Amino acid sequence: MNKNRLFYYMILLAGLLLWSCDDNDNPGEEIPSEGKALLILNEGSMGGNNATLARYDLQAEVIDKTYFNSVNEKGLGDVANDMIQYGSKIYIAVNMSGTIEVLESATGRSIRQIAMKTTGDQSKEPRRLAAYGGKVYVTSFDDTVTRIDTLLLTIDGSVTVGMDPEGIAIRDNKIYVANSGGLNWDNGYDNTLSVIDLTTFSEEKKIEVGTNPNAVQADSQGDIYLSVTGNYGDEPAAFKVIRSGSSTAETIAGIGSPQKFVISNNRAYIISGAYQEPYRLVVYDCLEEKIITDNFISDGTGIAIMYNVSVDPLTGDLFVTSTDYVHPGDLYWFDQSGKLKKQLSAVGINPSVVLVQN
Amino acid sequence: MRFLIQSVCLLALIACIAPADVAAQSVSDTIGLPEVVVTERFSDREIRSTAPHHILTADQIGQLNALQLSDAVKHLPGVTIRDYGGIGGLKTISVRSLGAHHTAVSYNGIPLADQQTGQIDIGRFSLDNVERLTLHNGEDDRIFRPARTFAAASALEITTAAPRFTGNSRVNGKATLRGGSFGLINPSLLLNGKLSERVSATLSGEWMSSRGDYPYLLRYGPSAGDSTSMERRINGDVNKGRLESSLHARFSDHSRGDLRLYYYHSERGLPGATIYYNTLHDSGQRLWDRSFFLQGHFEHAFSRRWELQAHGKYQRTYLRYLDPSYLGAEGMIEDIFTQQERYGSLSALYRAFNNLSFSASADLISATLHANRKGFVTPTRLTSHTVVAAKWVSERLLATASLLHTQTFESAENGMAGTNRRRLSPYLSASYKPLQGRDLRLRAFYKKSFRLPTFNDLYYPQVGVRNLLPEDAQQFNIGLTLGRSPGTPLKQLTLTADLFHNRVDNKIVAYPTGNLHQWAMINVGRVIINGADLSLESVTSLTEKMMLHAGVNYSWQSALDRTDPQQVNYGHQLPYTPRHSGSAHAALEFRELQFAYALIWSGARFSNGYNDAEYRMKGYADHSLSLQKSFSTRRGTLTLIGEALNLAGRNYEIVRNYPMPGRSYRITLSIHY
Repeated sequence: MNKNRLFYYMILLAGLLLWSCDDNDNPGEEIPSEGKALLILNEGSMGGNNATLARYDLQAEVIDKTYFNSVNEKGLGDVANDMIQYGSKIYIAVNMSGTIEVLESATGRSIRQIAMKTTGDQSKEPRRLAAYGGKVYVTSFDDTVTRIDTLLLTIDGSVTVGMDPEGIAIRDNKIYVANSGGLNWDNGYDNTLSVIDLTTFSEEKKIEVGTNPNAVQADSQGDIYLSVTGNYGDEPAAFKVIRSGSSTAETIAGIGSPQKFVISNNRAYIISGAYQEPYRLVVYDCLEEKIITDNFISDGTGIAIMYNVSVDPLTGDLFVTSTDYVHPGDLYWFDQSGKLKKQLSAVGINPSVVLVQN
Repeated sequence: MRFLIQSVCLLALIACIAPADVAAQSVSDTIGLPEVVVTERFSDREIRSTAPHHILTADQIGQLNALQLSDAVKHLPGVTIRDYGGIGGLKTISVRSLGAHHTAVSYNGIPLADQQTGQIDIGRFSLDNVERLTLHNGEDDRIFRPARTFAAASALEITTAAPRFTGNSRVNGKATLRGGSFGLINPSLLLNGKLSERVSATLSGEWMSSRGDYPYLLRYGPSAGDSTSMERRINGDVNKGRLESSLHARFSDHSRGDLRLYYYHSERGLPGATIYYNTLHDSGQRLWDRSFFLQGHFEHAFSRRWELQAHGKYQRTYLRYLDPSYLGAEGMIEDIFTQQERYGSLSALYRAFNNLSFSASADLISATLHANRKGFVTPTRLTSHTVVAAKWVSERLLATASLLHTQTFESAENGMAGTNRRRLSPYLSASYKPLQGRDLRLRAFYKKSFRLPTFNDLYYPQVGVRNLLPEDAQQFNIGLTLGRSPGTPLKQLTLTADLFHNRVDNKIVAYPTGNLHQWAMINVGRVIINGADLSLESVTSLTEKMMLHAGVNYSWQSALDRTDPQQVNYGHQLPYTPRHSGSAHAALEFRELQFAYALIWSGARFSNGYNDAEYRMKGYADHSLSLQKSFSTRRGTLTLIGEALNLAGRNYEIVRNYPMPGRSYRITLSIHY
């Protein structure tokens, strides 16, 4: 990396931080200091009530695999699909339990459990989370996006989108939601991205993006990136972009079988792999619009099935989790150069999102 | 033919090894002729068998405080029942950790098959009118059987009572009314009729209904201090009925036959896992079952040496599953599956010598699965089983050998069919009595068997894989049995102790192929199992009028995953497999009064293949008591039974998040006439 580009990134980072400081209606938000611990969300297996939040203490180098349970004397519940940190709080979407657990970031203490139930008292099946402007937005498999007020910690709005929404991203006063149709696989998936106006909180339009869209992220220019899973048959998976202001999704070539991905610092870290195809972590430069590397991991560390990837925005370190969907998976912690810093084994079933706890 | 010769050579070899006096010995009449139906005590059969083989008679079952078949089977050594709780919850049986697919369940001589799932819900069967339950590890020593019954690694045999008449009576039977906690109502009726000197018939029917809404303590974590709430099991209601009729004919002194018509119907809720903070989860899922079969058996002895028998069956099952709260576009899931099976078998027995007999049997099974899914493959499997077997019986040596040949022919109406498979399954067993005057026997068996991929394994949309191999199982067993009848007060004592080593290769497991929505079945698993079974039964006459029946069983099993050293669970115990488990029972009989205590006990288990503290499930003990009193009346014998179940009242879990009912009660009133 040359110095110019580094400088450029510094500017960009500063810009990003400023941008995120727009969300200052959330009290207590400040630029994070050095992390004390890693918090690892483990989704668990369906019907198992074995979703866990593990905490790895960076000083003592010990892991508490059932941190949430230890602090709160209760389990997280069944299938915890997503976790975000926003302000001084952490929000966890627990799918089958139909809850959003709101924790105090610093202590892991649960301060509210928000019920996510349909009128028939079944779970709405909350899936993914995004936060902006003092609100947390939740996609749920009952075809809705729910808005939660972060001061009152209550639901204050809901909008209907396409079938079984998954990924969610917020950019330029718009919410982008990937309608997967995953529960309707037998009769055809959905293939749209819902665009929701943030101010009116209503669906503005749907953009056709390809069969079974999954994860959605935005870069600093307002380009929207998404992974489309396809139907595991004749309609293939693809990594796509909708340029700022455009309403068409273009395929970005060279990224086969994209799964979950994350954009940090205008770099997209994309899990790519499938059955009998080795898993890789592709890095795509969202500004230069090119693949930087086909595999971020530079020291030969092999991961059979990558499940999720998270970035520490402060250090740029990467956290990749592995799974076999049945037994507890591992956490691989890489530095910016793609070298393994640490591996934590058997942290929980389907380990997913990783956060740095301050 | 070659196999036959090999078998003969092998037996000759065994005969040579045995001491000369054994070979020369003439054998007493009771067991002299191989394959003669003898009226021996079942405990004797358990002792003499070359492979572990446990029998529960109707009387013994009556002392176990059992309602469903699964309740009684939990008392057998080496058995693991996966019980999802309540009367309607699924219950499958795995013997010596080989898995439910390797256990055959047969009803009056013919296996019940479910080609779709490969496993039988043994909670479905009531114990009403069951005369005998037998668990065979390896093979039954009786070799004159349909080829199909040689196929599975182990077999659970349900035998219902055949009509018997004393004196001049032409009609007898039994009527029962049972009621209990959580809305249990269970009336049943049995009628036996003697139509002529040679023909008799039975008619039996039963209805069982339960709300199944038992209270349970939901624990929101594994630690003692974790929060709890008192909940009530929802959607656990069951309604089921059984109607059965059979005809038994003795055509001559040399031939007999029977014909049986069976119909079963059930509608039940499917109580799902108890999900934290969402106890209404899956509260609308329902299951409807209908099963009908007609089975027949005919047997003829041509001479003292030759016998022939034929079996036939037609079966139709219907299964409807409904999930009315699915969040997909249609808002529900409805699956309907129907299976049809046609089956025929011919077997011959040849008693070549006094000590040696041979049998051969050929079976053909055709099974088809229909489903309401669009574009469903509608597969048919034609399976041919052929077996040759030999058996040597003398006072001191009992040995059997068999070789089973299996060939499948797969076809499908829409799309590609699975791959045809051919397998040979050998079996060898022997028991030897080393000391003249003592009923001590040493025994050993080896069996190689397999289970075919189920229709789900082969054809389930997006998951099924057409070229799956059968899953292989091998069993080695050595053991000893001891029978004593010292007189008074200990009238009878039987002890069996066995050590076993099993392995499963090419185990069929679901494997993720990219993400949670995309799985495929593959043959990767390997399991190595070592274990021991111990069983002790006794009958003591405490006073002239007071008898004590008591027994204990204990099993130790190490069932380790040996699939892939790279995997985190390599070398760990299989989930839901306790290392230590056991049962005990005692019944005190005093005139017409019986007091019975039964215990089922299990050590700790893990709910995950990775044996971490998080997934550890504590052991449990289930105690039950019953008091029974019989009265002789002019109309027959009246029996009143009161039972108190799971006395400790703990909602222990056999499968994680599926709590068992706490303390409950049952009252049964029946009349034999």
